[in-house]
Amino acid sequence: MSVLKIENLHVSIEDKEILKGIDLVVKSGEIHAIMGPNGNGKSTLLSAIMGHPKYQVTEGSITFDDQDVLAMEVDERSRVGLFLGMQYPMEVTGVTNSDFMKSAINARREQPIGLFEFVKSMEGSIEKLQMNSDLAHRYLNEGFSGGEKKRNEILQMLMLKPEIVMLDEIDSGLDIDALRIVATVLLEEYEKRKIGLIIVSHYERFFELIAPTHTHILINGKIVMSSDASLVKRIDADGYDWISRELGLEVKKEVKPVSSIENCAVKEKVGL
Amino acid sequence: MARESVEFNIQANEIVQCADNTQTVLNLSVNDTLDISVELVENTSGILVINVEGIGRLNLVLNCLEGSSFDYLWVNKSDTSLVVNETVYLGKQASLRTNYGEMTSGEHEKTTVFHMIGERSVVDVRSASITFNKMSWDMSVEHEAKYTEANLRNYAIGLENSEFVLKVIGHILNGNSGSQTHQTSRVLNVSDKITAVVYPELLIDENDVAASHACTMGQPDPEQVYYLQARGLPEREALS
Repeated sequence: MSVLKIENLHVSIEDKEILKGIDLVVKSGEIHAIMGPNGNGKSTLLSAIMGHPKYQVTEGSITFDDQDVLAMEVDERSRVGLFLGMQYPMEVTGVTNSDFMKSAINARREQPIGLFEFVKSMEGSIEKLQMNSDLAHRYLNEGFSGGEKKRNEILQMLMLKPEIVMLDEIDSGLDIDALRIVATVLLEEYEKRKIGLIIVSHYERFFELIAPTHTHILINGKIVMSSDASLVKRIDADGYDWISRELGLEVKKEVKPVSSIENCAVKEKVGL
Repeated sequence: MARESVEFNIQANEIVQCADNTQTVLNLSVNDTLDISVELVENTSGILVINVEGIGRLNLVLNCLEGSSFDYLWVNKSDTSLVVNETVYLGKQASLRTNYGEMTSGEHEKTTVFHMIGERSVVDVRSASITFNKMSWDMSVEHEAKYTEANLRNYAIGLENSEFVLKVIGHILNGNSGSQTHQTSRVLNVSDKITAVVYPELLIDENDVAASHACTMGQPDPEQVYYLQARGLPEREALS
């Protein structure tokens, strides 16, 4: 049984505090859903756990099986068993998917993986996710559609066999069929290896396919409510406003910059 | 006709003449100071390879006589410290295609000057440097005749804690119309502890010439490095 423990986590980016005291415990065999309005810290939480250098942990702790995660480099966190399926997976030209996966696997092993074992594992995973058979020879995520990139994240998870899997909006960019495939593969892996899952998503449809054991609502950098799978249904039906009212919170809404209309266009619009 | 290959191990001052249609390999071993003069004979062609090792000062003069056409490969194998003064003369219609390999962990200082003294001489330079420690290189082309052409392409990778300084000058002297001097320098820094400086310079004292320079310096995309590290690759491997 593995345990990821987050205590009083405060995270900032460029001196702006995003997470304001997160407490969360995720064990093997648990599925935690993290929901909340955009721009309130969900992706920041996952990125901070994984060690993205643009985020500064200013207070609190993260431990994994009693090991201090904050003292580890990014690659070390991966090798101890943490995995993050990213919201926007990077394209890396010049590095094939198979070369990349082999290097990542070998980084965890004393002896390099045998060629036959590797090829069998990779081909099996590609087939499970119903991806194109030429995936192995293509450059990492280059030319992939959004959905293919997300499925490639799951493929990497299958190959690397982590203990705690964090998925940042894995459902965005997936059509309903691809979503079912991903959920099926995840559930299989969950049943087989009893991994711990932390899933950030906005939509009930994914949680219908993979029901969480715990649901948390993250607003203004704090977990304001926790419950079971029933909370997902409530959010899907009623949104987040009822939470703000119940708890007396002002929800920070993500504001995108507004394109300005030039003066002449405005004048024409009002007939001036 | 197959090209013959000859090899010389040189530890003392020497004058070498490269034979026609021959691959001439010079293994230079520097111990304090070494003076070498190499002549590429008129209207001959071939390959010149210079491998250098040792510690000290190397003064190398390469005379590319009229009509000679050679490929020149320079490989620095010294992991200590070399000061190299390299002077190349290109006569009328001489053509030299040079490739420099500077990939050692030593501390080196190099000055390379190409004197294009004959009309319609051509020099094409490509260099690949991987700096583990310290490298300082002043490279210049002096266009001293009409219709001379120089293309200098320098590529470098700076590794952790290294220092790399590259100065590249293309100088077209007055009276040498119809000449062209072009230079490209690209440096990739794989660490933020590196010092890398490139000085591209064009000194043009004539009309009716062509000259250009391009220089870029950059680091790997930190988001890409993070992505690779997030799959367990140590930083050094992710950067490579």
